[in-house]
Amino acid sequence: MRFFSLAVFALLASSAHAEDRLWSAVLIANNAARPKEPPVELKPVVARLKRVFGYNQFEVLGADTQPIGDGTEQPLRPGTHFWLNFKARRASAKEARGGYLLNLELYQEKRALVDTVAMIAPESPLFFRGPLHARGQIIIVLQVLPGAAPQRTPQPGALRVSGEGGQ
Amino acid sequence: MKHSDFEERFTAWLDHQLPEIERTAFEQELIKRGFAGASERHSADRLLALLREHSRSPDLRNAEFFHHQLRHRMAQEEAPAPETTQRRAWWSLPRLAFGGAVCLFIAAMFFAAFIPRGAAEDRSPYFAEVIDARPLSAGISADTIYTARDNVTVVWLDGLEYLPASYQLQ
Repeated sequence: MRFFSLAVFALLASSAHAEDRLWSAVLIANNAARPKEPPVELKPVVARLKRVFGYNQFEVLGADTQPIGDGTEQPLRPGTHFWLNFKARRASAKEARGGYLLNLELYQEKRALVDTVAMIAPESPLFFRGPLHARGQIIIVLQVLPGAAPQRTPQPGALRVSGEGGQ
Repeated sequence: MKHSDFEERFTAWLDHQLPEIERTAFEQELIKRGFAGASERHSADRLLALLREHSRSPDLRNAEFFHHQLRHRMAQEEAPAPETTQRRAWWSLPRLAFGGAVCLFIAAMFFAAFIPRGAAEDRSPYFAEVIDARPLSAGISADTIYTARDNVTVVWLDGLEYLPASYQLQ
């Protein structure tokens, strides 16, 4: 009986893991004479971010992760002032590799900034260049984390999240 | 065999080459030494005449060929130090090695200056496509940027207000 309950628990745990997640973070980017080590989550893409945005230091200000599936509709709150509302549909396109067609609305406080329709594959981060702050450039990043990610070989260049980030 | 001074002067006297000043003194010396100067000279003149008459140099056939050979040899001997030797000295092995090292250094400098490094096109299976991006507030513009080299898609928002340091991000 005890063995059976353990097996059921393991099965439930594995099914929960199989659920895809949508991870979002607010970054602050700037140039520093001695740039700090980039966060673990950003290390795979930091070289590309440096080239695209022209900054040498990236810090995560906050992050949020929510489960995602076909028809999911809910907010993501990676930061106090920046949040997203997303509606997700499973993408059938081959390039999406089981990713999602997302309808995203990015907000700053109560102000809606942009409405975006984007198709993103797992582990392919999408970036929003936000406003400029006194400390640096604000960037909002969004990424689909496949549910089977722990069992799969991580793709190069993909953001990896060490835990369930969030505030 | 080295000729004595007397013998040299005697030969010069026989050949009428002795200067006038020395000639008288030498003829007196001849008398002192027991020579009959006049007969000696007469014999010498006669011998010279006979040699000139009977000892002719043989006629050279193909004289032009010998002239050519002689001129060629003289030209070789008179020519300055051969230039080829100098050139060989310039392209010696150490100089070639040095030249190669300099070329390599220049090539390395050009490579460092002009060949982009670490910026090769990213081939990771990245796929993030923005189908539509509409700004929802006045004064904001939204553009999608994707570069194959960086393999990153960015929704670039412009027209957003600058946030001062007092704006707490966390």
